[in-house]
Amino acid sequence: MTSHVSLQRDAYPVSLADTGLFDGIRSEIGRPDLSDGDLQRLLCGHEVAFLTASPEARLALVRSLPVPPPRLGLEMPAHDLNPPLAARFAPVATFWQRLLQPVAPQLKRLPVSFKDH
Amino acid sequence: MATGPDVSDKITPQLASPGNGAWATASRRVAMALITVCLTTAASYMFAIVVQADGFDWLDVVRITLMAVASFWLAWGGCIALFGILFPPEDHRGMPLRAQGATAILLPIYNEATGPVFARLEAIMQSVDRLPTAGRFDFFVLSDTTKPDVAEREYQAWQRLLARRQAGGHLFYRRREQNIGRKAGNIADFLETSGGAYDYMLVLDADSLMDGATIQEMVRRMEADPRLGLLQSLPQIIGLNTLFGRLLQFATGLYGPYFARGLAAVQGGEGSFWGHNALIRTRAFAASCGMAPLTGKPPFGGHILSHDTVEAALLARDGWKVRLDPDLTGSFEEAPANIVDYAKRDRRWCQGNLQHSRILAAPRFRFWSRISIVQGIFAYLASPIWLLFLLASLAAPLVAPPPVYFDGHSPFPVFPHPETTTALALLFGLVALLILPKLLLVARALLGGNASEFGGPGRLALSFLLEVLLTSILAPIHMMFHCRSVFQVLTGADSGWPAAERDDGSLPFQAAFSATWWMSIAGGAATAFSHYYVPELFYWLLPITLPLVFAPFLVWMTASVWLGRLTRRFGLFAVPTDTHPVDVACDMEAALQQQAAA
Repeated sequence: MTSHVSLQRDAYPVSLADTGLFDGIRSEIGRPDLSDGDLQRLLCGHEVAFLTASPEARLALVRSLPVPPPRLGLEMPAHDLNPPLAARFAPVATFWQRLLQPVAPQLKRLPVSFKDH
Repeated sequence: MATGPDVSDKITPQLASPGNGAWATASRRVAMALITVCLTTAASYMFAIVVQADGFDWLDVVRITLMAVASFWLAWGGCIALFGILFPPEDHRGMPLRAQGATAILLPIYNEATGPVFARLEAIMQSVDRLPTAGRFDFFVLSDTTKPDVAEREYQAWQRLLARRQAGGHLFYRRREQNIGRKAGNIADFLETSGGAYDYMLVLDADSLMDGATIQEMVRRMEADPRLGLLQSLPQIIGLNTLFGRLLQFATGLYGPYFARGLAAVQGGEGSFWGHNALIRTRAFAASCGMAPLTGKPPFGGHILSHDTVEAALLARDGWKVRLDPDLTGSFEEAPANIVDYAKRDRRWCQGNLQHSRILAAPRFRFWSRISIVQGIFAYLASPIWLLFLLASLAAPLVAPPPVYFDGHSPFPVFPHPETTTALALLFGLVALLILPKLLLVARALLGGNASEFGGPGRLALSFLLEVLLTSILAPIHMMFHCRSVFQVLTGADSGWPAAERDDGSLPFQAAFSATWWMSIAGGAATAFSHYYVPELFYWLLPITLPLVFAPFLVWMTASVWLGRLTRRFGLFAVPTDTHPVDVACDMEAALQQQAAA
């Protein structure tokens, strides 16, 4: 199981969402994908300090936040490097069947027609 | 998050027709195969002449076959070095492009010593921060640590580093509670959660150090070639102080670049991946390099170990170029400081490489990828082949038919034809295959003017002689460790290792003895056997049996930091980093001291 750094906190005593500071934070840490909720959780416990700090201290606080990694995964299909013989020779079998296709009707065993003496 | 340019969703390389480079690579491969086959044939023919001097029997066939296989491997290694001298690497510098892509720098760790790991990371971060494109790089500590106390220390170290470097949004820590799929699984987990946000990922090891300018240059080269899927740098070994460590540093510093050039010359776009210090195109890797576990149980089933070779093969299979650029030298790693640690690492790699025998016939692998896999397997099988050859040579005189002096065709006695000259020629030929490439490289350093980087001409020549001597003495010990590893993998056994790790890499005598006592017994038994039963081989075998008898002492002695420092004081086994310290390594030392002070 993968455990990422947990950002879940329960209470937001002060809401920063309406202060317009979040856009600045997103820009500063280069994460436009973070929602207001994410940022609110990140700053949880630091709201007052954040609002009352000088611009320099605020910048330092933002730059030391434990920001979660971007969530943009890639699919990684698992390739079978030791397939069974049936799978390994499947293309050959298909090719052979395709090769036989034109002559297949001739190869088909037909019932002997009734001979009327 | 580093925001890069839009990346195309296409995950197939833009295929182009093979140019002159492909034909040059193909012709080098043919030349190398021809030279190797000719040398092997010559060695086998000479050996056949020698062994049939006392009559011909079935054991001679076995010995000639073993000699042919072993000499092929020697000749192959010699050719790689020769090609490294003959063919300089392609020049990829100077293309007027600025690195644009977003890059994740990945540091996978697993129960490592936290302090040095984060000190290295801090040094790399400092180096990257000096780049004009620093904003394009993010750092990920991907922890697979299973010990809770180590994990807690990692978390604390990450928080401290985050605050110190003001790296919020650029430094991330993620821990998996179970290390499913080991390092390959760790990287796969990153790709499946965050990989889409990055164009490239630079994969490091816990002991990796890389210079920011080299990282930037790698990104630039990757962007200059849209077909390039993986770019491997040439890591230099640094930071070792034991005698064995300095020997290793000297050998890899002096010969390593040329062996890498030789490899690059014949690999072309189907090159090597050594698992770390390499830049990878994330989407290509995600699409091509997922590996299903092999059926059955370990050691040959389960998750694929030594995954790097296979990942390189998978990228090449899908048309991506995998390139080794030996001129990317701002790349460093540490290595085992003593023979026991070296053997431990080899034991892991041996299992992975032998497991690759099951995927040798994987569908659609490129020809050279299969050759690389065979090379990896042979790196470990060569030792058992030499050992079998020695055992067969000990047994051969016992089963040889008695000489026939009167064959019935002549009234006079016919004596066996002495083949001493041929035997000596063969011996010198094999020794030359081992030493000549090194000698050429030393001559090149002496004539090329870079001898000063290795302590000056006199010290370089003396270091070379000592290196050849020590390597020859230690070779039987390495052979026995390899044989034990192969035996353990084949039988599924593991007898364990002595737990006596010291931070400086030295070993107490007890640990050296506990790891090698069985070699002393084997060496003593072989010496006694040859003395009593095969006296004609006694002196020939002494260079092999004596080091085995004294293996505990040799292992302990070469792990000595005092001897290592002594060689440094006398300017022996000097490497360029002795005289010109690496900035990123100095930064790491400073970070370690800062940690200690805190």
